[in-house]
Order: sequence, then structure tokens, then C-alpha cells
Amino acid sequence: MYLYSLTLQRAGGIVCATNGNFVGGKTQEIVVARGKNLDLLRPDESGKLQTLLSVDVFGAIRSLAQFRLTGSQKDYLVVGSDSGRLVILEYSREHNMFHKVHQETFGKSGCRRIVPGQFLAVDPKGRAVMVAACEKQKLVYVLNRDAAARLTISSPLEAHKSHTITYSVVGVDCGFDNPIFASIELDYSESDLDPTGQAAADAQKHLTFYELDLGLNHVSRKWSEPVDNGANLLVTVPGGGDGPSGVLVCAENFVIYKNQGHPDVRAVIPRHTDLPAERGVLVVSAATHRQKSMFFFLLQTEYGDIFKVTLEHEGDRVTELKIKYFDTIPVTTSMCVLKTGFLFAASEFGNHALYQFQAIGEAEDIEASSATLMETDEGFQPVFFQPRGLKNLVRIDLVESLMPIMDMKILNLFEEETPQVFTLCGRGPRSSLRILRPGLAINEMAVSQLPGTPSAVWTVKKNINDEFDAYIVVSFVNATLVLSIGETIEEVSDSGFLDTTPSLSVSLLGDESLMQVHPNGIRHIREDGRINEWKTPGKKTIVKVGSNRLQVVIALSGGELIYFEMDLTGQLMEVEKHEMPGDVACLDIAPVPEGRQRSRFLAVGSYDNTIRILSLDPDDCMQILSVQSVSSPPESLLLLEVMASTGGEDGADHPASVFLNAGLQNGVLFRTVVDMVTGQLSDTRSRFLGLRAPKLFSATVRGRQAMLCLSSRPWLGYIHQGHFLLTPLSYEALEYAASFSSDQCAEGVVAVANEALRIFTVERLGETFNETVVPLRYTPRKFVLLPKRKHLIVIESDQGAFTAEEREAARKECLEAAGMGENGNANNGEQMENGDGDDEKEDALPDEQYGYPKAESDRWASCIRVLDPKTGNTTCLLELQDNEAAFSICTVNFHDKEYGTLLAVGTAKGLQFWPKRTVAAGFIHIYRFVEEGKSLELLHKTQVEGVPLALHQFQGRLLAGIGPVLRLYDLGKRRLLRKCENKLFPHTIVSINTYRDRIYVGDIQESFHYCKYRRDENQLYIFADDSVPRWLTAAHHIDFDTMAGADKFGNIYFVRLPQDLSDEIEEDPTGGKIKWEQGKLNGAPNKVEEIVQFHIGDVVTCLQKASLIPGGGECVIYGTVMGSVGALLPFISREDVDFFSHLEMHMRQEHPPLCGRDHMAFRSAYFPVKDVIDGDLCEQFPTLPPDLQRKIADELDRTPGEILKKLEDARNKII
Amino acid sequence: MNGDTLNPPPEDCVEVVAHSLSLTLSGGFRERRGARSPLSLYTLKTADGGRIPEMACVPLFFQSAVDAKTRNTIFSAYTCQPSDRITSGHVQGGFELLDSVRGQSSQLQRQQSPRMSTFGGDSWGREAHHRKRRVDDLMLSSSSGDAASSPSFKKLSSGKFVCLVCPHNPILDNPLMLSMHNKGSRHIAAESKARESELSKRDESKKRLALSADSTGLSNSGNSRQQIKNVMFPNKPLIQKTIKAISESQCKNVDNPNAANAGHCSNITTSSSIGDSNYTCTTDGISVPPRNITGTANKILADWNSELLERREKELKFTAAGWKRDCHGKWYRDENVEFDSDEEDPNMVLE
Repeated sequence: MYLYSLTLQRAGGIVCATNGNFVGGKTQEIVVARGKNLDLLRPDESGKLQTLLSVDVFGAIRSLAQFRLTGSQKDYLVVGSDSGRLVILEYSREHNMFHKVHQETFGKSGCRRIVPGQFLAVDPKGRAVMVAACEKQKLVYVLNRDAAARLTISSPLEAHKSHTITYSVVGVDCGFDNPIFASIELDYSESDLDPTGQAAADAQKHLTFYELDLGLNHVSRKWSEPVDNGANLLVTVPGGGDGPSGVLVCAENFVIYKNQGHPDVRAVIPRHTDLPAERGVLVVSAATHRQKSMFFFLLQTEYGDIFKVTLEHEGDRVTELKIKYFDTIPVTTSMCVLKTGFLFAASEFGNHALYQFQAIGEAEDIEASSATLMETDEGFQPVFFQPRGLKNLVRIDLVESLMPIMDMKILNLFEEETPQVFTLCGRGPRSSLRILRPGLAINEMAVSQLPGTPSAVWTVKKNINDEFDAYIVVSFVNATLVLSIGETIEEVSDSGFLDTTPSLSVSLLGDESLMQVHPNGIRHIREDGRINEWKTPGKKTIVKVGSNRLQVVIALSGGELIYFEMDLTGQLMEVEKHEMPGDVACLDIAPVPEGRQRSRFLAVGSYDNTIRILSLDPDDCMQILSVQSVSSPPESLLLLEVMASTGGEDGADHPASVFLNAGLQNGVLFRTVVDMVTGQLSDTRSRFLGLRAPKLFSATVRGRQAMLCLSSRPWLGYIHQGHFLLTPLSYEALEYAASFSSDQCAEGVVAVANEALRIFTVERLGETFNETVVPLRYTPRKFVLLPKRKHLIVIESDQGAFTAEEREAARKECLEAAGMGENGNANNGEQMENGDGDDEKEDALPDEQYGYPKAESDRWASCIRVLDPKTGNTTCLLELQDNEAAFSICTVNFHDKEYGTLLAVGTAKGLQFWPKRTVAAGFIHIYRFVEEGKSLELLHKTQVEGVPLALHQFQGRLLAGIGPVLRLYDLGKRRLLRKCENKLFPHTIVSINTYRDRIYVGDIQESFHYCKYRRDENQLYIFADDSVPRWLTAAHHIDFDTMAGADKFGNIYFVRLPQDLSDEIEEDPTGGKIKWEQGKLNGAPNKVEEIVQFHIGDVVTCLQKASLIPGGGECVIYGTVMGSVGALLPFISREDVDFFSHLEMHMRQEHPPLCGRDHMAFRSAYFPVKDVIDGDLCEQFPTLPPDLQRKIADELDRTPGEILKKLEDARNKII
Repeated sequence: MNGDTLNPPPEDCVEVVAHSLSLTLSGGFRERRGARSPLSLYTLKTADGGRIPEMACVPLFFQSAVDAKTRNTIFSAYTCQPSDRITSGHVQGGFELLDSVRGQSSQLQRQQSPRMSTFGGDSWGREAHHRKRRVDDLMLSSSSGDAASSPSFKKLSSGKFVCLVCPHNPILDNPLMLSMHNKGSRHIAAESKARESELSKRDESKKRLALSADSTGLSNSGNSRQQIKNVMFPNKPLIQKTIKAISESQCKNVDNPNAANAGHCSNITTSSSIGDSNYTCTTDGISVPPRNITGTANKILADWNSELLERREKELKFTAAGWKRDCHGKWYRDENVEFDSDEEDPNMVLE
């Protein structure tokens, strides 16, 4: 089996982010690392974050830093990754890509303890960079400029200290003195040697300054001082004239200002009033805002509260440290303050947000200061505060992120053309069920009913120089309706259009005259109101029209073509006639190219399955230049001109080219390149779009020409980051469409479908999926489908949280205390029942933003929810009581029992992970569905000795994995009845799949075990297992002998029982063999073989075999913790395997990954990659420079076009 | 070609010997790889009646090699030098070993080991060789004609032979080659393995038939053996055949509408490609009573059969529910299994 791996949705989670001026000029950009992707983001004028560039680096990015050489206008990006190399990147605006300026190797690859890459610190003046490991090693590189002003980098200077753990590293701002780096370190050398543990208890963290002596070219430990043992983060304080220099040490409950030769200045971090006493407050992310005159820091705590920290200083002496409550936003991994007044918050989980500053916290608020710090006998006096609504920040954009995907199922519950991907995402109060549909999201602006069923719609401007459209013209079977676009859209009758006839085309002609083509003639409306009418000769009628600004071609019934051109006086003149062999099915003229008088090509489609290109040049007018035969009569044609582009915002270079698109009657979109000079057609591609013949319309997307294809669903063809993408829109089937531009919506589409006129815009270009969000209450764990009713049942659980009742009680108490009492939220109780969705709308402090109040870590809150995915309504929500939390779920039909489908839920009571994993009890709850599956009723619950982490129906009974025991239960009257068990599993069973009498059991750390249930003996036998110990995170049954699994190190693998072994096991007539066969070393007698192995680089949490396109082949779809969705498509032909493996090989050689990780080494990080081709790497082919593309194509004996076509085909097979 | 073709031999006898040696050696090597090279069987001959006065200068291992040749055995490739192998490819014709050379070598031979005079007399060598070959030939044809034992080879339409015993099925050019091959250790090993498996299969089927011991069993045993004989070298471990044999023996002429549907048995039917599923499971030692099949009794038999199946299904249900049987056939509860308070007692139900 050979597989083609392709990421469908890139990871959403952000590991780290930094901001700077990477493009050059005045703009500010944000660079974010999303696991193995590096993205460049920029907020546009409207405050929406746009992705300028997204590049897969095939390595784990661990740290980012930005620096600028003095006097330079542009920032460089330093990347610390698992490649064992330090990489400095520069963004190139021309090519829209990152260029590797330097790549310095310093150690082994992989994320290791003592190989640097985890921490990066840059001297604020851009003179040096320190890259540090978690332990021992620190390397300093000196950055400089050579004679040609290019960045140079020195060989590394070592600042190692063995037996030390590093917590944070930062560059100290000391002006133009020797660069200094500060780090929080812990020396464990003594603890290592002391068996009593005394030394470990006494271990002390130190703040250490490393000085780089630029003169001596040497790094020395300059200063080291004990620091609070809770210290976890350093923030550099501006210096060198702008401030006092030094660092802020963020420790548990404190922020301390420290500098060499300066006494500590310490202030407490204010606490929530309801925070349990044993919980500390830690700062998790920090951002600095600097202006010439002032600076402040924003520190965010682990509870999401942002504090503004200011320093009062006189010269170098800091007199006071103030911590003031700023606002509360979801917990971030990093925050970026942009000079333009934006705050980018890269959330730890869930959607990221862009905020705009409304104020900088100058107003009165709760504040802790070093001056008022009170020390009592019990310690320092805490300062309390209560979070309030946002005051200083206002959210202006949201960047969607699926992180973490906890569970996923691909189902077609809505009976749409393509199945939907149901994902459980997020954590705690920000968790949600997201329904992903392949296609672009649509923002519907208006829908209005029309008096009849319209057949076509156009928009026209009055003048070529107008920014917006003036009229919407709608054609009916026997009339034409003209709507004028203004503040509102209303019908007009003074437009000059003939309204008693249907229209075939309406367009702007010349600079400011309008043309209406109707079956009996052409009506030319001049700018001064004069109307010229051209009538068709005889009894012929016009059937098809093609026009641009200066040229009109009409096709009469019978196949006659008449060509008109606009002359200098603005008169429409007949130029040429041409008789076609038969009726014309469709025709189109390309727009007039810039700087020219006319377009050279006319495309005509005939019913004899051909498309002809005719010349419109005066010297060979109406001559056939080329003929293309197609598989079915063409229905619609569109000549699409792609402007020559040399980089810019969204693309690499590509020369100007003309594409001929044809929608064929069999639903295929046919696309071919038209030679600009000869009109010859080449490089044809076709794609099936839907059951209806696609109708093609020109549209505008981000100022470029794009194509709308209306088949059984609408599609949009557009250019994104230099690639032409054809993606479906998540919208209903449309009849006819035109681009639309008005005051309210610059780039919209107006379309007709049935009896309605619809105006919409297309959102979030470049995405594969669009999502519908249903909020959930706690971290979702798993979900199942109730097949008959099409309801989803979700289990959610959170550690360290209060149950809904407790929270409600606390809230009431709080409100009463605040004196709001009765007139507050009187209907709270009712809201509870509805789940979170409605709860938060009226709430001033939504949990989604502020998080739940924190409880002790051994407290669990959990619920079971029955959800109708169509409406997103929760029909039943059961909160579990007594500190129970749900961990597994399945539906089960017990044989010959009266209840029908039942729901089994595995729970644990009082589960604790630290200091040791303990559990008070485990239970299996059995619920029955009542009220047509909308509600649940507990039948009984059975106590078991461990946590049931896996449940599955098997032959009319329930299989449960409880710790290392696989057990078969039957339904009893008052509890489940244990019927059979096997205790021979190594650790903990986390997954169970069954097929016929085989049971495929996944162990948490020992991969798969294949079992068989012998009914005549009532025994479960393990007959095969894996020889590789894998920490299983996801499992899916592929076929009778094959399982797909994913481990926690980010690998996907397939194991298969060899055919002969499988046969032998199935053909065991006496049954003695399976019974008495014994393996070695407590293993099973047979071993499965690993047939596929691939390192994804991200923890895969769910796997499913499914097809995302109608009629497409099945592929394995996976979802990851970082929120990416990918697919593994099995190759069908050997040829394709050869082609793609060669392409991959060439890509590896010619286009090594950006961050210096060897591609092959990355994909083989834990086990050598086997039989999987990395489609993500292959898809980087179009980003290569053209000569390199040609070189690779030559070696593959193909043209670059053919390779692109292959890549497109491979992707189209998946989605 | 086959050993009789004469090519003008070279002048120098020593060279001839050396050369032929390289031939035979390489032939041996090829033979080991399973290719069909007749070279190992060629004999040597010089034109001039071949005195070999320089015999003494032939290296010792060559001499012994010549001896071995005359003993009509294949040279082992282990004595073969890499350089020797290379020379083999371009030699087209065969050589015949000269009498005198043979004599000389046989003299040497006799000096070393007198027990070689198996075929008697002075002129024993060539004739004996031919005789032996002929016998082998005849043996071969006789063995192929023998329908009772399984044929270990097959004659292809091209006139070549393919050994059916060895796992890689080598193709051999002529009966001689085949006979030589059949003496090879690999072949012998493969043969014994095949025999073993056949025996075990026969054992197994006997056991099964004994289990279903009844009057038909005896009459059918011949049948099933026949069947086993027919299909000789299956890829699968024979169990399939056994099942088929049993099923045929048991279900012959019985129209059983219900396929066996118990536990693992059903899987055998579905997963393996046995065409007819009309057999009953015979696990748990439930014996199928004798059947005297007559045309009229068919229906009764079928009823009876389905009844049996039903009962069996019930029993399976009880075993699956955790009941066990003691040596008297009484049901008792497995102490590790939990039961509902109102669970049915098989002792009552199955009375």
C-alpha cells in the first residue's frame, strides 16, 4: 500500500509569535509558528488579519525572535527549531517568500535536552543572538554587516554550564555597551548527587547575566543572583537612555524588577477574589510596548487576566513597580503589541484574536505597587480584584483555530453533496463542536424575493470609471427588470432598457454607453439617452451573445455569427459575418487587453462537441485558429486572462496567460491554455464539478479576475498566493450570477436562484473548510452518532472546575453581594438547561472569554449532551454528579433485550493524576433514549475497578477496556453482567474496534492486539500483537487484517496481519491452536507487520476512513492536536507512485525545507518513513523558480504543466 | 547436446582437465542455484587417445575433482574459485572424458578407494554410467506413470520437467537432470516435508472422520482419501481440504438449508473460499448421528438436522452466557461469570 499524504487544513494553533517589520516600509507584521508552519500575518485596513504567506518548514518550530541591524529598515527573523540549526530568514516582498540568509548548524537534530533551539534571545540592538537549550548549552552568535551591508554571522561562542536547567532567556537592553543576556537557571548538580533529597529541596533558581565581550569575542558569566524559586519568565526592560535597563522576573504571585547592582523592586500580582488559596498566579505571556517617551508591559496570567506593568524610574534607579489590572482575554501563548495600536493574542487553545487598543489603562483600576507592598507574618499581603468587561481592548477580528481537535467524525448527516466533518474542538469553556464543510465560507448580504422565476442577472456600471455598479438587470422569461443600486436597491424604469422582452446580455459598451441584447436585436443606449436599435434579419433570433467593452459577437439561430465593433464615434458597426456548421451552443470574447483596441480571440462552442477559437483581428477576421474537441457539448465558455505578475502581495511570478474554461453538459469543467499569439490550445485539464452543466461567470476577487462556476453547487476559481484554486462555495445551488460592487460590499456576487435574488461575498479565501460552531460546556472528549435519529451524543469533562450548579450558586451569591439580587438574572436556572449557547449572550462576563472559576485540581465537572446537529440545539444535558467524569462512550444494542439502542458511558470518580494516578472508582452508565432519542434516562450504573477508557458493542454485548482488562458485559436487570474477560493486556486499553468475531484492541503504550472471541468456549484470545511499543492516541479499523494507528510522538502507521497468518487463524478447525499457542516474552504468538509509517509532526487524535468527495475513493482522514486536518490517499497505480516518489526525491534535493531540517529525517523522525509520499512537499513545486521547475520536470520527462496537473489531480481525488 | 556431442578437444590434456574442471565446477554452481545446466553431466575426452604424462602436475584438488567426476557425482560449488566460474559462460559444446584419462584417474582412484568398483570389471565406468542413467530414466517414467503416489514432477509441453515438490519449482531440461535434481538434498528435504504434511493431513482427516464415526464414515473414507490425493500442493495448511472432506462426507445428499452459524465456524465459511457451507460444526464433541441416506428420507433428515442446529445454537448461547459443562454433561455456572437472578437454567431448558 502506498499513500499520498496531504494536509487539508493547516494547523490552527500557535506555538509562538513575534511581530516586527519584515516586509519593509511602515507596516507591521506578525510571524506565527504553528507547529511546522510559519505564517506571516498582517492586519489590513479594515482590521482583518490577512495571511500573506504560509510555508511548511517540515520541522518543529520551537522559538521565534526578530531583530534589526542598527540603521536598517527591515527586520530579520531568527528561528529555533528541532533541526539543530539556527536559521535567519528574510522576507522577500518580490517573491512573497522567506529567504534563508544564514543557516548555522550547532547540534544534532530533534528536540533534545541539551541541543539548543528551545530558547532564543536577541540583543535589542541586533548585535548578537543567543540560542539556548533546556539544559546546559547556550550559544551566542555575533551578528554583523559586511562591506556590502549584508548580514554576517560569527561562529558560535559557548556559554555552557553543565547541570543547569534553563527556564527563560532574554536579551538585556544595555544600549550600546557589550550585549548581555539574562537567564533563569537552576543548578541541579548537587541534587543529582544527594540521595536524601535534601539538596533537591534546597535547590535555588538563579538569575544569571551573560556578557558578550565584543572586543575579546568571548562570553562570560557576569553576574548571578538567587531569585524567587517560582520564577518562570523574564521580560527585558528598555535601557540605554530609554529606560532603566535590567529585567522583570515574573515569578509565582510576584513580578520583580532586577538589575545588576540594583535592589529588587517587587510587587504582587493581583488575584481573583474567588481563586482557591493554594493556587498561585503565574505569568504565561508578556508583551512590551515602547514609544520614545514611555514604555509599559502587558503581562498575562494563567487565568487570562492582563496586567499593565509600569516602572517609575529616575535614570537607572527604579523607584516603583506598578501592576494594574488591564483586561481579561483568553489565555495566550504569546501576545504581540503592534505600533499601529493592535494587540494580537495567539490563544493557547481555540480561536486567536486581534484586539484594538481603546485606552492604555490610564483610568482608575485595581493596582498593586511595590510601594504599598505589605509583608506580614504569613507572607506578602495579596491584592484582590474581580474581572470586569473589556475596557481597554476591543476585539476586531478572530482567527479561527480548531486546536485541539479532540475527536472527529466524517458523516453526511445533512444529506448534502459532500459529507461534513464533525470535530470536537477546544478546551474548557471555549470548547465547541465544529461542523466543517469543504468549501469557502459565504457571507450573505441580502436575499429578496422576485415576482417570477428569473433566468439571468447582470450588473452594469454607468461609466467605465465608476467604482460601483449602477444597475442590476434581471431577466425573466418574458420581461426584464432593472434595479438601481444606491442606498437601497429599487426598481427603475428610466434606464432605457427594453423591459418587455427577456434579455440575453446587458453590459457596458465603450466608456459610458449601455447595451442590451435581446432575442430580436441589440439595443444600444448612448450616454445622452439616444437609443440605437439593431434588428435581426428575417425571422432569425439571437441565441447567444459574447461581448466585451468594444466588441460584440452574436449567434443567430441556424449558426450564423455576426461580429460588431465599436468605432471611434461610439457607434456599433457590423464588421464580419460567419456561418458556423451548426447551432452555436455558447460563445465568449476575452476582455480587451490593456493598451489594445480589441481582444484577439473568440471562443465558440458547438453542439458537435467542439470548441473553436476564432480570430477577431482585422486581417484574418473570423478565421478558425484552433479546434478542441471535448467529451460533451459545451454549455458555457469563459476566457480568463491572468495578468502578468511579478510577486507583490500574493504571488510568485507568472507570465500573462489566457485560459479557456468550458462548462460541459456532463458537469465537467474543461480548462485549457490559449496561446497568446497563435490561439493554439494546450495543457488541458478537466474536473467534474457536479451533476449540472457548469455555467461560468467572471467575478472579481481581491482585485483580480476570478471565475464563478455554477453547477449543482457553486465553485470559485481564483488565484491565491500564486496558485489557481478551484474551490466550492458553501452555498445553495445558483442559477445565474454576476459580480457586484457597491458601497456596502466592494467585491460581492449577485445571483439568482429559484425566485430569489441573492447578494453575497466570499470570505476567508484560501481555506479548505468553512465551519459552523456549536459551543459546548467543558472540554469535549468523545462523541457518537445515534444513527436512526441522527443525533450526536457528546461527553465533556474538565479537571479543576466547578459543576454548573456550583458555579451558578457562586454567581448568585456574588450578584447578591453586589446588591443586584432579584433584578439581576432572574431566569438563570432556565438558561442553565440550554447549555452554554444562550447562557452567554446576556452575560456580561462570558465564560468563553473569562474562563471558569478555578477549583482544586482533583475536582471534576462533566456532562453528557445530546445534540441535534441540524439546529445545533442541545436536547438533553446531563451533568454528572459526585466528582465523576466521563471518558468513553458508545451506543450498544444488546441482543434480545427490549430497550433497543442504549448508550454506555464510562466514567471515573475522583480521578487524580498527581502525585500518582489514582481513581476512587470507575463506572459504566447505561442510558436509554427517551422522547425519540432526544433525551436520556439512566438505566443503571455498574461499578468497575478502573477507568473504562474504551467501550464498544460486540455481538449484541458490550466490550469494555478497563485498565489492562478486556471484558465482555451483558445487560442485566440491575447492573451489567460480566460474562468473559481477558486480563493479559500490558497496560491500559484505550481503543476497541471490532469486525466479525475479531476484536482489535489498542493499548495505551503497546500498540495493537488482535483478539478473537470464541463463543463455544466463552473465551477471548489474543492471537497477534505488534512488535513495536507504540503510545497509541488514535486507532481506526481499515480492513479485516489491517489497523491504522497514531502514536503520541506524531506518527501514523498501519499494521497488517500477514495473509497466511490470518488464514491460518481463521482456519483453525479444532480451535486448539489459538488456545495453546504461546508467544515469547509474554507476547502474542503472532506479530503484525508494519506496512505504512509516516511522521506527521503533530499528535494525531482521531483517524477515520472516509471519502470527502462524492464518488471519490476513500482515504484516511486525521485530525491533530494543533488543529490540522489531513488525509492519506492510497495510490491506485504504480505509475503514480513512481512519479510522485521521483518528484518527492527531486523536491527534497532542490528545495530543502526552510528551517534546515532534512525532509527525509523529519518524516522518519521516530521510524523510517515507509510507503508514504509527502504531498505537502510535492505541492511546493509551483513555488519554485521557473527554471528549477523546468529542471525537475525535465528529469521526470514531463513539462512543469503536466506536473502541476498531476498535483492538482491528486488533490482533487481527496477533496 | 546431451553429453554425446563431441567437440574437437584441445591438445594439451592438462589444460583439458583444467578446463573441463572449470566447466563442471561452474555447472555445479549453477545447479545449486536451481538453473538447468547440463554441464555437470558432461564427460571429457581428448582426440588423440589421451596419454596424460603430465598428470602429476595437475594440482591435487583437480585430481580429486576428476575422481569425483568419474564417480558420477556433482561437484560441490564450495571448491569452486570465483575465477573458475567466470570461464563457464562461453563454452558451448561438451567434452567427453577419454578412456585413458578415466583409466588413469580410476587407477588413482583405486589406489585411494578400492570400494568404487561397484559395477565390476575394467570397463565399468562408461557403461555403468549409461546404465544408471537409463535406469534413472525408466524409474522416472515409471514413477510418473504411477497414479497411486503423487507425481513429484510434471512434464511441460516444451518437453522440460518441472519439479513440483521443491518450493521454487525448478524447471529441468531433461529426465536426467530431473533425476539428478531428485537426488539433491534440497529436493529430498522438500519431499520429506511434503510427505510429512500429507501424513498429518491424512491423520487429521482420519481423526475427524473418527469423530464423526458412523457407518458412512467407513464408506466415505476412501472417498476423502481420493480427494486428498487429487489436490497435492495447496498453499494453505490443508485444513481447508480437511474441512471440505468432512463436510462432503457428512452432508452428502443432505439438503441442509441452514448454514452452520455458530461462532468461529461461520467465519470459516465466510472468510475462506469454501463453496458449500453445508456442514455442521463438530466442536465440543457433539457427535452427528449416523445417517442412512435414502431418497425418501431426505426431508426427515433435513428437519432433524435443523433441529440439531437449533439445539446447538441454544447450547452455544448458554456457553456464551457463561455456563459450563461438567464431565457428566450437566451444566454449571462459571464462577468468574455474573448472572442475572432470573437467568434460564440450561439443565432445565435443554432437557
